[in-house]
Amino acid sequence: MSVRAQRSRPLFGWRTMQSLKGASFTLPFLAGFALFVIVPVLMGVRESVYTTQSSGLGFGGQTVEFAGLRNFAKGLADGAFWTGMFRVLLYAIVVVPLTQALGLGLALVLDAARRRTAARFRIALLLPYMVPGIVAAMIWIYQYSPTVGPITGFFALFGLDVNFFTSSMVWVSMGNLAVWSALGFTMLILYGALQSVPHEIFEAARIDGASELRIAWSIKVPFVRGSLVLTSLLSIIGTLQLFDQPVLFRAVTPETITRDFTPAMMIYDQAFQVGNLNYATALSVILAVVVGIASAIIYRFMNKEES
Amino acid sequence: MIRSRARWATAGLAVTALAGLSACSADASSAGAAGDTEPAGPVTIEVWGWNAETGEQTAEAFNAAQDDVTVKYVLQASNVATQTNFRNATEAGSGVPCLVQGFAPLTTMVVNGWAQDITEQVEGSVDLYNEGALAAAQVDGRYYGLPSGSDGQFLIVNQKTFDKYDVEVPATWDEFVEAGRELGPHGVDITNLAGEDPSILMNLAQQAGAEWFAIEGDQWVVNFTDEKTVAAADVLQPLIDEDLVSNQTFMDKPALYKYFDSGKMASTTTQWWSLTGLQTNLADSGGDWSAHPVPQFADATAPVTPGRTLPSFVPEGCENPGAVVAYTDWLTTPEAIEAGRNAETGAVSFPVQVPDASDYVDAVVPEDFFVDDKAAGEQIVTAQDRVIGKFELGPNYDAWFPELQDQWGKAVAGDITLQEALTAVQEFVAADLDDKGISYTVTE
Amino acid sequence: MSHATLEPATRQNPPARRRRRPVPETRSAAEARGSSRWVVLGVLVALSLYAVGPLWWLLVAATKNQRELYTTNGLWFAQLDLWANLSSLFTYQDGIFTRWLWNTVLYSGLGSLGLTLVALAAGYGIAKYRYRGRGLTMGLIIASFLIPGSLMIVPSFVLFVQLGLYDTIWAMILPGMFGSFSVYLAKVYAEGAVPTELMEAARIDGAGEYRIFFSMGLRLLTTAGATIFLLHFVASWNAFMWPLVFLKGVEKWPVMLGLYSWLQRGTDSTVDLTSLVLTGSLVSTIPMVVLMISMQRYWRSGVTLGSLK
Repeated sequence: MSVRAQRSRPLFGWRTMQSLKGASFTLPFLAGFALFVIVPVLMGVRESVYTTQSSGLGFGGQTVEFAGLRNFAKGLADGAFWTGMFRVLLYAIVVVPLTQALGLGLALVLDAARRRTAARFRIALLLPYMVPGIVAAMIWIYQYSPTVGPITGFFALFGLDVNFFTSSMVWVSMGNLAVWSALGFTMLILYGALQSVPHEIFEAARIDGASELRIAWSIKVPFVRGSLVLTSLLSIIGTLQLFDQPVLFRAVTPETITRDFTPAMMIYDQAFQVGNLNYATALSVILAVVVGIASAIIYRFMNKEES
Repeated sequence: MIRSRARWATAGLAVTALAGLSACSADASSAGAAGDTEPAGPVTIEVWGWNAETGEQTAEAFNAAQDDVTVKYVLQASNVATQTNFRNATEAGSGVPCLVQGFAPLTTMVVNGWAQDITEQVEGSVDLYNEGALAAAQVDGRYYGLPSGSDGQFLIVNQKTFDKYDVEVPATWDEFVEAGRELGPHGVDITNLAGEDPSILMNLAQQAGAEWFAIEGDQWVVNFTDEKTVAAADVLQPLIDEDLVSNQTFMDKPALYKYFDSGKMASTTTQWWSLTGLQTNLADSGGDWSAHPVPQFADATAPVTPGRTLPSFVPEGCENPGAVVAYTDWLTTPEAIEAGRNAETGAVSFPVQVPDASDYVDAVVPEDFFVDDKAAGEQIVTAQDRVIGKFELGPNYDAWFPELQDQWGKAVAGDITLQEALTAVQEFVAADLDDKGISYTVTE
Repeated sequence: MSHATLEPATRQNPPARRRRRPVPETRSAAEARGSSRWVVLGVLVALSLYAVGPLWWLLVAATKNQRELYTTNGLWFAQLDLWANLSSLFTYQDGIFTRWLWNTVLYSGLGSLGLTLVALAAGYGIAKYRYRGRGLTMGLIIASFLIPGSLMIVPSFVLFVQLGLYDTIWAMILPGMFGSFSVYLAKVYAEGAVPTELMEAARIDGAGEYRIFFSMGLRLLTTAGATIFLLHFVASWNAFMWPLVFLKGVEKWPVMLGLYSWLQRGTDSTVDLTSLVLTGSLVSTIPMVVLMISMQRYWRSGVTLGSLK
C-alpha cells in the first residue's frame, strides 16, 4: 500500500529471492517436524489398516493381516464411540467458550492494570499451570471431598447440599478442574499477544475519546484475534480429546464414568487394555477427523468475523 | 484399575525385592550349567523392577555372594511404566531384560508371547517354595513364571466396635452378613466396598472355588455364572441391597482413613503390606483392631485364603533362564532376606513365597495397632499357609477387567444386580475372544 | 534505521503525536484510568484467589509428615515438619532428587531454548513472507494439533531406537524443539508485532533478510519468545510420560518422573512417599517461579516502535 511497495514490484527476481529466503526460515522447523512428527504418525497410522488375530488358546502367537478399511467401518458403526463423542461435544460447547472468555477477560484486565501490579498477578495466575497434573488431582480431590473438603462445608452454610463426587455433579467437577488448569495458559498467550501490539495505537484512540471498554473491545480484541483463534483451537481439541479428568473421576463415580466414557478413553482402552492397537489407531484417525472438522468450523467462524 | 493391579503385584515385588546375600553358590553354578554351554565368565542378567528401596542392594549382595551370575537391577518408575517399557523393548526387538517383575497376570504374558516356558529350570527347586507360589507360576501345567508368593487375605475387625454392640466376629460369610445386619441399626457398616475396585468379588469367587476360565484341550471354558460365583455374589448382594456397607473411594484418602478410623466401619479384608499404612493413618483406632481368618463358605471342605499374584517372568529371548532361576532361588535364603533390609525403616520384607515365613512375621505386625500382636502375627502366617495362589484370569484379562470395573461400579451403586453384572462381563469376554480369534465355549 | 522507526508511527498516530521515546515507564498506554482501576483490581484479586487458593492445601501438606497428611485438617498446619521433609527429600535414595532437578534444568532449558529459536524463525517466515507451500505448512501445523499423543509413543520409540537417540539426553531435547503449537504462536505474534513497513524500510537501507530477522525481528518478538519459552519450559518440566518411555536409568530421570515413581510406590508396598512427593512438587515449582520472575521484563508492555532504536 505504501509508495515503496509499488516501486519494488517490477523487481521480480528480487522478490522471488526474498520469498525463498522467507521460506528458508521455516526449514529447521520443517526438517525436525518431518522426522519427529510426520514419520512416527505415518508409522502409527499404518496400523489402522491391519488386523491382528490369535488362534486356539491364544498362546501360539498372532498373525497380522491386511484389513483394508474394515477397522474404520467398525469404528463408524460403533455406538459406544459415538455416544462418547456426543458427550464431549456437548461438554465442549460449554467449557470452550467459558475458558476462552475467562482467559481473554483476564488478559485484558491484566493489560489494564498498573505494570507492577500486573507482574505480580501474572505469576499468581500462572501458578496452577505450573502445578503438575498428578498433584493438581490430589489438590482438587481434597477440595471436592464431601467429608473433609472445604467446598461442601461452605455451601452447607447456606443450607445447600453440594457433593462434587456424585454423578450429577461430575461434569461441573471436571469442568472446573479444566478451567482452573488452563486459565493461566490462555491468559499468558493472550496477554503476550497484547504486549506485542504497539501501544501507541491505544494512546491514539484514547485521545480520540474512546472509553476503556470500547478500546478493549474494538482495538485490543481484534489485535489478539489470531491468538484467540489458536487458544480456541487448542481448547476445542483438548476438550474433544478429554481424558485425564474423566479417568480421575472414574474412581469416584464408577457407575457413571465407564471405560468408554469419552472417545479418548475408549481409544486408550482399546490400545492398552483390550490390546487392539489396530482398531485404536483407526478410532484415533476418526477422532482426529471429527476434531479437525470442529476446528475448521471454529477457524472459519472466527476468521470470518475479522474480515 | 491401576490400584487393583498394583495390589496384586506385591508378591511379585517380594520376589525381586527381597535382598540377600551369599550362600547357595551351589545353586547358582548348577543353574549356570542348565544352559547348554558353560559360560567362561559370569553371566550378566538384567532385572527390571520398581523396588526403589532395596532392589539394587539385593542384587549387589547376590553379585558379591557368588561368581557365576551378575545381576544388573534396572529401576522402573512403576508397574505401569515397566509394562510400557517392556512392550516397547519387545516391539523394537532390542534391550529385552532377563527377569521382569510381574506387571500383569501370567496368562497375559503367555498370550502376548512375552514369557518363556521355564519348567525345566524351575522343577529342580520346587522345595524352596510354598504351594500357592508354585501354583501361581503355572499356566496349563507349565511354568511360565517364577514361583511367586501371593498375599494371603485376612480379616481385620475393629474389636472395640464389635464388643460395644456385643456382636460375634464372623467365621463364615453367612455370619458376616448377619453381623452386618446386627451392626447396621447402630449406624455401623460391616465393611467398605469401593466402587472402583471389584477385587473383593474376585477374591470371594476364588475362595468359593469358582473357575472363570479353564483350559479344556484346545479351547477356553468361560464361566462367570457358575454356582460358586453365584455363592460369592450372594454374600455381597444383601449387603448392598440392605445398605449395610459404605462406598468410600480409595481416591479420597483423608476421607477414607477418617472413616476407617471412626469406628463406623467394623471390618475389612486386607493383606500384610497394607498394615503399615493403616497403622500410620488410623490415629484414633490404633490398638482397637484384631486379626481373624477370612470368613469361610459354609460348605468349604478345608479353610482356604484368597490371594493372587502377578508372578515375575523370564522374557522370550533371554538366553540364561537358568541364571535367573539361580537368582530367584537365592532370594528365598535367610541371607537374601537379610540383605533386603530397608535402611530407612530397618525392616526386612515378608517372604511370601517360602514354605514357612513365620520367622519374619514380627516385622510385619505394626506397633500399637492390634489388640494382640502375637495373635495377629499368627493369623498372618496362617493366611499365608492357606493361600490358593492361582485364579485363572484367561487370555484377555486386560480387556475384561475394565468392563468388570464398570459393571461392579453399577452394581455397588444399586443400579443392577451382581448377577446381571457378571452376565454382562461374560458376554463381553465372549465377544472379545471372538474378535481375537481365540477358541472358547461358555458353560451354561 | 532512524527513519524506519518513525515511519509506522507516522502512519498510526496523528502527525502531531510523533514520538521518539516510548510512553513513560510508570503508566502504560494500555493502563485503565480512574474508577475502572478499582474494577480491574477487584477482578484480578478474585481470579487470583481462585487460582492460588487451592494451592494453599499443597503448601500446608508440604509441612506435614506422612502420619499427619491424611489425619489432620488439610487446610491448617499441624506439627511443622517442613524441614524434616526437605531433608528426607534431598537424602532419599542417596539424594537422587538433586540429580533429577539438574537433569530437568538441562532438558527443559536446552529444549526450550532450541524450540524458541526454531519456532520464532518459522513463525516469522510464515507470517511475514508469501511463498509457495506456506498454506501447506500452516495446514500441517494445524493438522498436527489433532494427533492424539498416545498414537505417537510406540512408533516414536521404534524410530528413536533406530536413530540411536533412545536413552540419551537428545531424546529429551530434540523432539520437543519442533513443536508446531509454538510455531503457530510465533506466527500470530509476528503478525502483530513486526510491521511490514519496518522490514521494507530496513530493506531500503540495504539490510538482507537474515540480518533483518536477527537484528530487528528477534527484538520485536521478545514477548513472543518469552511466552513460547516459558510455556514449553513449564510443560517440559512437568512431563513424565515421554521420559518414562525414552530414558532407562534412574540417574537420567527428570524430576517429575521421579516424583511419579515415588507416588506409585505407595500403591503397592509398605512404603508411602506421598508427603515426600508433595514437598518435592512444591520445591520443583520454585525454579519455574524464579524463571517467571526473572523473565518479567520481556512482558513489559510497550514494545513500542521507538524502542527499536
